[in-house]
Amino acid sequence: MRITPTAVLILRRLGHGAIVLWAAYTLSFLVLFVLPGDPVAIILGGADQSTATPEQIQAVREEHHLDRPFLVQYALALSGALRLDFGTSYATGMPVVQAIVQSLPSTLGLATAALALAVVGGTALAIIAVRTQRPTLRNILAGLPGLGVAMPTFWVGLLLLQVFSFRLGWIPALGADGFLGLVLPAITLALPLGAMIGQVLLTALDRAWAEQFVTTFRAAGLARTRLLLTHALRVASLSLLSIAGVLTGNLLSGAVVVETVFTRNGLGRLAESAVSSQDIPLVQGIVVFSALVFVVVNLVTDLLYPLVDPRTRPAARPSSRRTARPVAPTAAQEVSA
Amino acid sequence: MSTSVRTSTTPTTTSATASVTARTTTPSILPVPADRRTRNGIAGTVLRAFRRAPGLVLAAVVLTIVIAWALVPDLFTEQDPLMGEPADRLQAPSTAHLLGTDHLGRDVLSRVVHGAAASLGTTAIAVLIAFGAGTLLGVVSGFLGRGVDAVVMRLIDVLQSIPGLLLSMSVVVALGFGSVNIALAVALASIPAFARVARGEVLRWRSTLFVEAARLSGIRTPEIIGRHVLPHAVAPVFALAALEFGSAILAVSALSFLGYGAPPPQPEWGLLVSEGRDFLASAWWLTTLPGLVIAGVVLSVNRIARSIGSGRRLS
Amino acid sequence: MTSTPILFAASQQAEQALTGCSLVSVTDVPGTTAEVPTTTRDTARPTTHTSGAAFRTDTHAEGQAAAHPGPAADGPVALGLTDLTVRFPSRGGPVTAVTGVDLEVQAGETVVLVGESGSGKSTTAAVAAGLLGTSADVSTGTHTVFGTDMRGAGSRAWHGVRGTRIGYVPQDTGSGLNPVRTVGSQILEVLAVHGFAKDAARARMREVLAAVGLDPDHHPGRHPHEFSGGQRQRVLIALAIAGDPGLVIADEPTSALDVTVQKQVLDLLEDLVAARGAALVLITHDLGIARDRADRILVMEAGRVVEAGAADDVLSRPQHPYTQKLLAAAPGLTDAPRLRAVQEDTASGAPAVQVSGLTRTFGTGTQAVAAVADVDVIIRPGRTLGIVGESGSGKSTTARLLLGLEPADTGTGTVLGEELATLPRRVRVLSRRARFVHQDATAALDPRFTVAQSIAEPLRGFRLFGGKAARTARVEELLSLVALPADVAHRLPRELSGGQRQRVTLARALASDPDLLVLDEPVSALDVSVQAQILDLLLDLQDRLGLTYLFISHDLAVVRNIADEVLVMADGRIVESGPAASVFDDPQTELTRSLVAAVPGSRTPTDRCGFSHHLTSPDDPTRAHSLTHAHSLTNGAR
Repeated sequence: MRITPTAVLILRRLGHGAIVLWAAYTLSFLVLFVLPGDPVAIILGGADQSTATPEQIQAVREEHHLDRPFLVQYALALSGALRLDFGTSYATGMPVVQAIVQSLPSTLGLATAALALAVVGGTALAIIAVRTQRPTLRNILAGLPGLGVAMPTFWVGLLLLQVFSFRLGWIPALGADGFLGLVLPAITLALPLGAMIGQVLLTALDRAWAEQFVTTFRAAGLARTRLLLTHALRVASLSLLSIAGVLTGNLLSGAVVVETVFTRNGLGRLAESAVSSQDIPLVQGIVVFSALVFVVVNLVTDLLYPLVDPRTRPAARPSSRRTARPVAPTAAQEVSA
Repeated sequence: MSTSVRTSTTPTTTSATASVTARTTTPSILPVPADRRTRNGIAGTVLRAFRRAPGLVLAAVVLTIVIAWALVPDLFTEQDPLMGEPADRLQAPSTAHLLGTDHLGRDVLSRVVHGAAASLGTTAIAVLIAFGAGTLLGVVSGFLGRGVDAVVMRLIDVLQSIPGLLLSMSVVVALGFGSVNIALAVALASIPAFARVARGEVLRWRSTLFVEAARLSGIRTPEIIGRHVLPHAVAPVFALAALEFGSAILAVSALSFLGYGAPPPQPEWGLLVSEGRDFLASAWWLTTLPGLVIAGVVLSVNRIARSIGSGRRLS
Repeated sequence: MTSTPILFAASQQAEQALTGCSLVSVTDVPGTTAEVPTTTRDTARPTTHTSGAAFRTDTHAEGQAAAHPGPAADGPVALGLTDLTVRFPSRGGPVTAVTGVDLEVQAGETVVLVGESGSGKSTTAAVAAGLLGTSADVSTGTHTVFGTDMRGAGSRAWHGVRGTRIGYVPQDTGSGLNPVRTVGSQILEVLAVHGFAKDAARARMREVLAAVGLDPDHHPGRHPHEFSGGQRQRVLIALAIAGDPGLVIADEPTSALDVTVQKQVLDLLEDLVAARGAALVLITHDLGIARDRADRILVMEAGRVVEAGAADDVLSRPQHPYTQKLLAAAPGLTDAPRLRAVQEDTASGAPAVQVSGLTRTFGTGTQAVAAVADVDVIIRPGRTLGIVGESGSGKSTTARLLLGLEPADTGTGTVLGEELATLPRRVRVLSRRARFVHQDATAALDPRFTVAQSIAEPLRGFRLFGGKAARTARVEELLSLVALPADVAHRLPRELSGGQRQRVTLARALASDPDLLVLDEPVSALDVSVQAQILDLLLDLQDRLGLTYLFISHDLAVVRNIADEVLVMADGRIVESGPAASVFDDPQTELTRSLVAAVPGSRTPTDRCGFSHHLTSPDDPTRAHSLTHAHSLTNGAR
């Protein structure tokens, strides 16, 4: 079989992703297992170690390989991780992978809802801000993302709870299931995300709007709205794709806070309680899992990118790049000169 | 273009002062009306600045007040942030207690004012560490290239692959709870941004024609780095530091909200909001008002960061 | 190399439309692209068109236009713009960009707006086409497009004008087309807006693509980055004529292109506009283009029209001092070289540079591209060697090899006595005596450094003129050498004009008292009047300091003006060399001939056919070669 450039690209990306995952695992292992703190004490339930018998302590040490040299511990752990065995939770004794898988669906639902809200809201904001001819509306819309980014997520969640659950009583503060229970958390999680999308897209649209092809097609008779939707948005959406990885990371970070505020069970809450109880294997499992999500998302966007931006297609030969020649100034430059 | 832009880019060399005076006395091609600067003194300057960029001035005022809270909290409140008056518990905002009181009868405003030192201090440490470490990594990586660059960039990739909050949380697990540990945790999460920007800037300025011209003028590499590359490369990193300060406040307060910061009696901003959670139905001010302070400060910092960024682009 | 041949597959209509005076090329076998100029010598003007329905048949103004350059008195006014004033708001109060400009264009005539940067010519064009942003304060006495009053017209009113009555061709700086959409979809969208149904739009697209010399079968599916600069400019022209406008405004349509491609594109534009009897407004900084193309010329300076009239009158009997200055400054191929006091005998002695067999290949295997192949360079001391060629011809790489900035793969000889093979290790030593001057002075000066600091840099680097006082004195001396006032010493680069900046880089180059200056397109970024000053300065410096120059330029006229000897390069090879006068006046190779023929302003009156067609006779091999070669240049080794 002939190796196509795309195949080479995919293989290289896969290799790169594998290295990142391995490094994330190793880094978290180093940070979590080597730095201060006695795991035995944590496993046996807090500081009151004197009550435990030496036999108990010995048993725990052996179970978690804590009696072995560091490199052996690392090798054992890594080989376990390759078999998807990240050990068992100190707190519950449940296998880490199982704990993560159990809490995943709830978080996935929340993240999907929030992402959908954020994409719709952010895109609408950016398009209206660019399209409007009224400077006041434009300024207000352009200022909103900055506001959304500046508000602490946990505070927004509590504010929404206060207004919609306690003041208005529309949504029960606790125990709301299904759609109703998803509304407030999804809005809370979507707000900073939507602000980021709006900000990035607005900047990209403004930049695209200043591109020369806009003049070309305005002169050719295309109306403003059409130009915006069929030309500028196509170009601007590229920058949205390039922040997909960051957005995913923000979704996971946000889920920790949102699930804690709304006491929803999920990956974020699991992480929060794992940290609170210093459940090291669980924390490591979640960290490596989130790195996996990041790597996968980046892999997908890398593969999508050439479909959206033909200039990055590996097979495409760049046309002859010409060196800078004296370039006649545009009208705007002429004036500023 | 205004005077401020010009002076801000004055080269930091021995002849800098000479060149400034020379430039202000010789009629330049960008005349600045002299009377505009001298009239009305400081008050006039502020007033004009306010008219031109009201948001920016407001942001500066907010930030000044908050920094003053952190430095001399007693100037702003006489109430004890730790010991409350049980009789005054859960009182709504009034003239006696501008932001109300909490469940132990402590004045919320006093706790917010006294919390500024802890919250802003932690944030400042975090940004300083990230700025130092990240810039160093980025600059070294950009200059040495090849092997070092590859290793550093992979390391940055790994740090970026883990969501910021989770990365900070795992550091907290390793180091234990507390303000300084939170600072370290937040710093680790924002190192990649600094490293990337610093590296990109170094690479960008290294490949300019004027660096090639300097090299062809017999200037050696260390001097090229010191005189031609770094002075240009640091400006965007400073702009980033301002921007990161805003997000670091949010990260620090989120960790403190989750309870990983200083233990409860301490008045950290995130913790204040968290303490109000149990009284959402009865005492709205406990969560709403401290949160509003956080949002206001972050908004102000971001506004100022933006103007630093655009000021750089002007020059 | 998978080059993209320019496929000429002219449609029936296009052939008919261009009958009489045009270039129609036929290709049947892709890959063996045969581009045959099917031209007629017929000087009779095309008075009738049996054109396709979409083509304008109204051509009545053509005859007069050719015979009497100037507005056809009885023709309808395509564009009537009087007393135009444009102000832009700025922090220091409104800035007036255009003051009291009248621009009237009759149907069928070609009006060229000439001016240097900042003259307001592009702003004027933007107003005419209704493209100026809302931030500008525009006032006009009248503004009519084919009789319709456009003053204060909103976007709705302009909607029926843009693309259908006024076609606008922007300069392609690489982003004139949407980079993420296929060329075909972009053209089809415009046609849909002009009311073409799906099938009609498709047919029309094929028609206009063929008319601009592109391949209607293969090119629509490609993206802009897969085209060469000349091809992209053709697409932009196709877009402008797609709606069959009666007036085409082209704003510096060819300034980013190589000279041979520029000529093709301008010829094409002229032909297409003529075939439709449309009017053309051409905006350019190049007087040569004005000379070649204009019926009428408007000369703009600082927002005003300082001179207007029939092309012949303006060019041969300029009234306004500014026009006279511009004309005097514009280098022409037919001008005598600038006066120089250098005596023949000073050119004796060992050559400053004597290198042979210079080769440099980039890439490996099938990707390998010879940037420079087997080049011999000899420069006599105190003389100037010019290297000319289009982009990608290897001229800049040659210069870098000679300075040791790139290692040569093969080659022997010496540069200022240094062995070529050891050059890369001796760069520091050589660079004191052989200085490099960059094209872009703005980028070559550290924006944070004052003029004095920049100029003193070689003194520090090479440890010359030790001591602060000595260096300050040397900087002052250098400033006066390049005719800059002493008080610029403490200015920053952005406080200087483009010409002043280039003088500063020259002063910096001279600081270490070099023997050889390598000048890489030193005047290409400058306006023509500034260009002339810098060239004079260079010659003056050569006289006074006995400097040797290696002068690289894409501009034949400039090289002709300054060089003693010339190398013509293409695809990394030397195609012709010799004394400047003989190479340009009597070129021996077809490539050089095509380059010379393409220089704007070199067209003779007999070249003009129809009212503004350009033709060479069919038995002239230059033309055919220039086409095939130009396309290999644009897709070439870069």
